[in-house]
Amino acid sequence: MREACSFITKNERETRELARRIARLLDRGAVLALEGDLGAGKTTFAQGMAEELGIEQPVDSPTFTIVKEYEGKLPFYHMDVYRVDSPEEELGLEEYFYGEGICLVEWASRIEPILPEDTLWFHLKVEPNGTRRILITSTHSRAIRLCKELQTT
Amino acid sequence: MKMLAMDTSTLVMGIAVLHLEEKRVLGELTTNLHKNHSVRLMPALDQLLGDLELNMSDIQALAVSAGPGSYTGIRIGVTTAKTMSWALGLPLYSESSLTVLAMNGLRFDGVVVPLFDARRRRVYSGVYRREGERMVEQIPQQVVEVDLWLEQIAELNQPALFLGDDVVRFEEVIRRRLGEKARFGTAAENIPRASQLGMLCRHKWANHEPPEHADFSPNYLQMTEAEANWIKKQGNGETSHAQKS
Repeated sequence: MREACSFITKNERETRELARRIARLLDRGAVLALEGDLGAGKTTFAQGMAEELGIEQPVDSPTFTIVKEYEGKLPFYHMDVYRVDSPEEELGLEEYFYGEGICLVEWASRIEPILPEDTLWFHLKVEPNGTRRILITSTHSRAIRLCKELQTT
Repeated sequence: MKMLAMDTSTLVMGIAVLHLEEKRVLGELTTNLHKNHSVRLMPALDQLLGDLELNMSDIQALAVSAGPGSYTGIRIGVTTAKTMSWALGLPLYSESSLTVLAMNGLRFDGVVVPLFDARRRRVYSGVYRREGERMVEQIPQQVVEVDLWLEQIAELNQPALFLGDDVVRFEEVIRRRLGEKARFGTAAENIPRASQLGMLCRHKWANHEPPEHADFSPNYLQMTEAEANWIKKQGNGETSHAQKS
């Protein structure tokens, strides 16, 4: 696992703006894994992405439903797989991962074996001074390309 | 007695009405483009029944594909069929979506291998051979890694007809492994037909097989224990990508 790049955001507005910039650069079928402690900004990040994808509905936690589907410029699938006990549970999540939309998966490490190889990993960390560090990693060239594009846009 | 059959287990959405005693297909509707089955299934049923000048009160039995295939798709068909069965008090019969597709190869001289992509180089498949007017499993249907599957088929040393729109994704590896023995379905043969589902379920009805119970549920095809263990092993960090944070 390589660290491709990282960003510092000072507040919610900046986290949201970064998510919007990332969303602009995503193609159909992109799978994003989102890891971070409570309060690190996962929901803010998801909301920023949804805004950029033209989704008008409010985006809230999919903890109880596991998946929430939104229709925007692209379909947006917001997942929280915390309640999934093992990757082999018969949920059919692969249909989303290999589908036509953007998948944002919280607690993704719980189902890592079934995630596509080119999954982009985002780690949101709270720094001691209260800012957030957002780390993008992947084993796939997709992450490196995304980082390059983020740094030049 | 008329049977209404529905299949939404793949990209194909199919419905058919059959006359059971006369052994006739009265009408059939098939699409193979959009995956909005939940939106279209009921209007399509309505349309077909209307075209046939039938009402739901003319239907005495139901049939549905139980899977495998798209999890979402299977749930749409099974939920719809079960709801109708319960609300109208109609017997519900089901059949495997792979067996339904295998029926398109009934006349083939050799084994028939219907196949759906299960992702991560795995397929839902089974090996079928003809028995009367039906196709029966020679190697049971399963979710299996494609190379292992082709090994098993190669050992049969028979012509094998591969069916399904997903086959094209594996055509190269199939040809490499099976050579001249590998045959491929036509575009029309690659589409599962609700009329075939109906005919298979008609067979159950004619043989007085009991219909499904209220606890009938989809057959997604369970992973083998070996595969589940393999996935667990992967999850334990051996090739883990997850970063501890």
